Amino acid sequence: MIKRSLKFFATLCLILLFAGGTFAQGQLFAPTQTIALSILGTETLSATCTPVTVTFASAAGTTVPGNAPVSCAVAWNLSPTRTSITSAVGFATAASALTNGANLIPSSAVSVSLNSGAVVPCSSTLTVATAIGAGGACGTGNVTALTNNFNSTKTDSFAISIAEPTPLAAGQWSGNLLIIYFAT
Amino acid sequence: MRLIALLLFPVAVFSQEIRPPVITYPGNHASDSFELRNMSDTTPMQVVALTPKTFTVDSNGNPTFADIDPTKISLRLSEQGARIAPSQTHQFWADIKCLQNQPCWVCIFASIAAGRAPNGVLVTVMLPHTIEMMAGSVKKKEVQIKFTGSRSFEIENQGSGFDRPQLEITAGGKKLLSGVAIFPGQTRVITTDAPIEKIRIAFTKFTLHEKP
Repeated sequence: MIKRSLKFFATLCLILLFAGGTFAQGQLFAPTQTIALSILGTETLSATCTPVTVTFASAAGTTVPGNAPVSCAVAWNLSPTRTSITSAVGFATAASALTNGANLIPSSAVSVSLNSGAVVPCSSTLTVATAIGAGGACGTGNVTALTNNFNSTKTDSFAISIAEPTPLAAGQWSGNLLIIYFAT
Repeated sequence: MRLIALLLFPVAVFSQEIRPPVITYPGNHASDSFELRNMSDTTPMQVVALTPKTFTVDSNGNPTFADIDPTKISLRLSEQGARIAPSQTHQFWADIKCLQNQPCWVCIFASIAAGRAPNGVLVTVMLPHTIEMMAGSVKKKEVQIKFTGSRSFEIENQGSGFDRPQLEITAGGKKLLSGVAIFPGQTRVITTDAPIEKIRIAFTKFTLHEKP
């Protein structure tokens, strides 16, 4: 008899336990938890230029185009507090854009056409003490405003030509063309 | 045939990324780092030099670069150059301190070249990393907004703080979002193509709403 009563009592407890759980599920609500999510995206600026070198045919006394224009694909992902991307082209030292031993070709003999625009000699002064030397800049800087445009791309083409001196000293002539992209 | 041509005459692709190109710190001393990534799969690149400069900006935002005055700015770089293999990233470190308890800013030009040009012109790309130290912020009472025409206005910072607020200009029925660096004691001119209806300028610690 006691055994049956205990069995009945245990069964009753189980029923109440589960029934209570079921009712509780329908009635109790945990307070809504707000989880703050945040990501700090990294700002980036990239430039992909090709070809790496430009060569010129030997033709003393004439203006010779480079074997190919330099094409630079620029991509940026910037904060909306940024203003613009400025590009500049030129040489570090105006007196010696290309050298062949002691023989020099000044930057004023080199011209650049940006995006099929006007052919501009590399003889202007852009700003004080940049890597592009005084009198070595190929025109003024090109500014791309970032208004509503903080994640985008553009492609610039630089067609380079050289007015070769007469006589053109035999041997290898070489120089460095600087292409600068900076975000402000 | 094309594959043979590519193998015999590979076209060098010169591709690099700097991250971040601009960074702003709230104080007057920061340990900064930036990365240069060689995005080419095949061409190694050489960071020929890191050249630090400071600069001033005119009222239209055009910078003029100058050598760093060591009595005003202390800058130490972890290294002056590096060789970065294809698809690799290199991290540089800079410790910068404004020595006169005022905002200061520097621009570190990274000159990057790929290969050599024994004959002809070698292309060298320069991607700068700009560090701006706010050393305090612009105060609301020090800022004056003046409309100088239906399509232009000036932001004048009469104080010694630096800030980089976000502009929201409503002009010609469109919302224009842009940023602008506000240098100490400087007036900045902002112009739009269409007549301005209203502006909202969100500084770090306050926001201004103005109408012409």
